[in-house]
Amino acid sequence: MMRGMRYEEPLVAPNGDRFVLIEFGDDGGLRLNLQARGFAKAVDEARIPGVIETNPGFNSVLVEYDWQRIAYDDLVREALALADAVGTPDEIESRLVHVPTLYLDPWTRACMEEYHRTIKERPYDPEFIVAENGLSGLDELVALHSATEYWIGIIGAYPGLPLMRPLDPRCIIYAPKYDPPRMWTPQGAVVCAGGQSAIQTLHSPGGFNMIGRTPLPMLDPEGRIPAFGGGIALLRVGDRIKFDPVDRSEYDRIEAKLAEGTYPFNIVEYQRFSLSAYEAWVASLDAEQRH
Amino acid sequence: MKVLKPGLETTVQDYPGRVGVVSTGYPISGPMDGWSFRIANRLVGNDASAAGLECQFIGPSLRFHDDRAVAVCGAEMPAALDGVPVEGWTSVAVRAGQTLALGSATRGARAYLAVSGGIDVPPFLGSRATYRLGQIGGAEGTALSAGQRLHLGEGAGTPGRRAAAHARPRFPEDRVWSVEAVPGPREDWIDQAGHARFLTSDWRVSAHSNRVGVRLEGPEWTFTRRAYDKSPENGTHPSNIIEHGYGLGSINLCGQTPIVLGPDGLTLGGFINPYTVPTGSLWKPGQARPGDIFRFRAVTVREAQEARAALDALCAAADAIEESGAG
Repeated sequence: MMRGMRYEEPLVAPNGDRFVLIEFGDDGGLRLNLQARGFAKAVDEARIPGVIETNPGFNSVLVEYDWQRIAYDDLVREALALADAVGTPDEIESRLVHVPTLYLDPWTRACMEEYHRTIKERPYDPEFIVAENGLSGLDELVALHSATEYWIGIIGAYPGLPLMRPLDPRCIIYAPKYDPPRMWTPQGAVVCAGGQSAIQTLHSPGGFNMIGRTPLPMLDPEGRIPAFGGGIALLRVGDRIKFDPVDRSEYDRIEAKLAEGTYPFNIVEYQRFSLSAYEAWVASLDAEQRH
Repeated sequence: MKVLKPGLETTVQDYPGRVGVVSTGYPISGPMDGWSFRIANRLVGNDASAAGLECQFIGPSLRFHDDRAVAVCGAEMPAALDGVPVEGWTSVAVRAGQTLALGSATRGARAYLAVSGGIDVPPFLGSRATYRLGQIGGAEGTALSAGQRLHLGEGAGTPGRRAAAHARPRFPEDRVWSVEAVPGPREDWIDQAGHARFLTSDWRVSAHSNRVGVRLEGPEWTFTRRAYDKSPENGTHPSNIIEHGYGLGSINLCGQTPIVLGPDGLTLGGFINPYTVPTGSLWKPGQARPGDIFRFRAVTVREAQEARAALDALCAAADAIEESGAG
């Protein structure tokens, strides 16, 4: 991830009568993501009368407002003042969440087979990614995908769904999305497209390529699982993910423990993430690669 | 009340739906036609927050266990109480033991059934609205099923009311809808020819339309340089952009297919929204049937806000509801 192209002034555009989109730059870098996240938090905490809620994107924030309580121009002025004041936070709290994953699992394979049968022919997703990225084979794909931590830049599209980018730039894999999208994806599917990865939180449509599945639930609407800390979604923006490869018997054991309520979620709570330290590390990698 | 027949896909909804949780990825849900829904609640004497039923294309049959007032608004959907036809847009007294049967919509897509006291399902994140994909809200997170019992709040309600003619949305006879659209947020990615095509062409409502989104079929979109001249994380297709929040009613351009995002739509994604159907006009995609035609008319943010305020005022106005004396 390169240092971002950040606009001089945020780009402000109406999204109908109740929403305004405020965009900070045009790339998928962490700097813009931290800026968007910090800005959304500041707007939430400022409790500006007439602001309904914020919906952070990767490098932008969508703000819903009631114009009968705050005019568009006033909202934009107040928001831009907040954006100026917040800037880009350099250090934030960041949990590390371990996600046991059965790569090349039978459930996503069955889902691909159904797509090929009923929608259209397409190479199997993992083989497709291997070919697209010039990898030596499926083993290298699994090793590469599980070798890095991932940064959760956004939660959304579907409830609790994390969209994430690999923190180690040597582990980026590219693959175009499905066209047309799938009608369904197994819950827990680990998916990737366009340099990003995600975990499907629901049995829902999807367009990313499927490479594995985790038994961990991503949502807990009834508030039964203590590891969710009272939240509905397991994951939050600013968390990091580590995919831990497991085999089928381990997957089944975890699933059984989850059903009993005895699975020990592995969430490392004490860490902070430093943007400048991260950017320096990435720059040092680039230097090594030049030699 | 007991569900005898569930209808095609009948869900519990409330207005406006699930507000304040979009950052966790839960959409707002709620009725697709909030205008008809709100009038139905007023007819039976409910609070504005009461939950009712959204009946899509084919309505349910319901048996009542106590005395209630009911009203059917929105799509023209024949309704009968123990076989005797019941007029739409009026509140009608139902006695314990009676059966209300709704048929197939003849105009419009969604009828709203309000029952006095409201449908008393447990709220989830502050709303009773059903979000089927997420299996939350409403009756067990999904559409009604035969044999199900639904608890109702207290209230015999207000039979004998009628919605004034001006308080009922009008569906076009020729199935050609004039639909307002606010340019943006990413109108600058569409070139002049693309804008002209959007605003002058007939857009056909696809059969693949639902509460997630109303898909439109029409001419090609063409793009400005801005849609190509972007960082690689945006994706390769000109309609691709780095994932960002989607406002309700966004006209979301997936490749070449525009989708008007509905109440169960994605909260964010990686396609541009060149236009947005304002919230005061969302009842139109909510009542459109496959094969209907949309013709879009550009309006300013200010005009869209005034139209929304006028609709809210209409739904709350004293003269929207008349005492018919019957019932």
